[in-house]
Amino acid sequence: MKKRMGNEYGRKLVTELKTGVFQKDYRTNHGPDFAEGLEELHRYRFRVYLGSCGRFLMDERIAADRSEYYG
Amino acid sequence: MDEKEKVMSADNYQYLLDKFDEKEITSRYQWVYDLMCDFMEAEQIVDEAIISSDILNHVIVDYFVDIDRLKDFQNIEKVHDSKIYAYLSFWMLRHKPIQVIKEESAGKLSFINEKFVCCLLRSYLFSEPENVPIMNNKKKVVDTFVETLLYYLKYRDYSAKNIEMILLAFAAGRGYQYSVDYQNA
Repeated sequence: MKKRMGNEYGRKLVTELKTGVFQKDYRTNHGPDFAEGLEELHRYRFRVYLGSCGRFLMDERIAADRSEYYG
Repeated sequence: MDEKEKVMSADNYQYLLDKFDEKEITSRYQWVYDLMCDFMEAEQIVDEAIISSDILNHVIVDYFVDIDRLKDFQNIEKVHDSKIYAYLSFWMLRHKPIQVIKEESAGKLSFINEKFVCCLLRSYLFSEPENVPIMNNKKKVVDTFVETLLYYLKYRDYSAKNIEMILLAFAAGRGYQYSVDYQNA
């Protein structure tokens, strides 16, 4: 049976954490400032969409004919 | 325990006010509230349902708690709109701030929060550019997406992360199609 190396590997991990070798895998996903400016634009878009022909017609089509599900 | 840990472990959310501007919290609350009012007026259900401000409090608090965690871990200064929509949608679906007050014949309101969130996500996906007519041979695939989105929010396991992924996937598909069209032009 292979020698159990758990303790050694564990200590190696701690060393990597201490030295910063083990790096964080993260996804920054920056956006512009939403609260001051964009919020108003998105509110406008929502209102326009709410009253749009596109939304109305899509709802009508969906209500009239349940579409086929591809998934 | 350092100061940050003490604040975080308190049994309240005061720490959010250290992390976010009061104006930002108020403004996000008002934004969501306004959208729900507009939706309820458009759907003509103002006499049949109300917006519970107490429940909306929980939506906004949980949203900011999540965004705060994300910002810390992902090293984000300002989150992308896809996250704002995804996390707000998730917590609205969980807490359901639109409450039905009609006792009978309210079947069509059973999933009113899901319908609102679906409308919100649709407005995000379909409003830039606005009012684009869908081509006849593409209507089916687009309608199926929207219909399945609502079904998904009603019956399936959703998370803020997979709502975000839905939004990103849609944007990527649109980007791919623009590129194909440009190449073929």
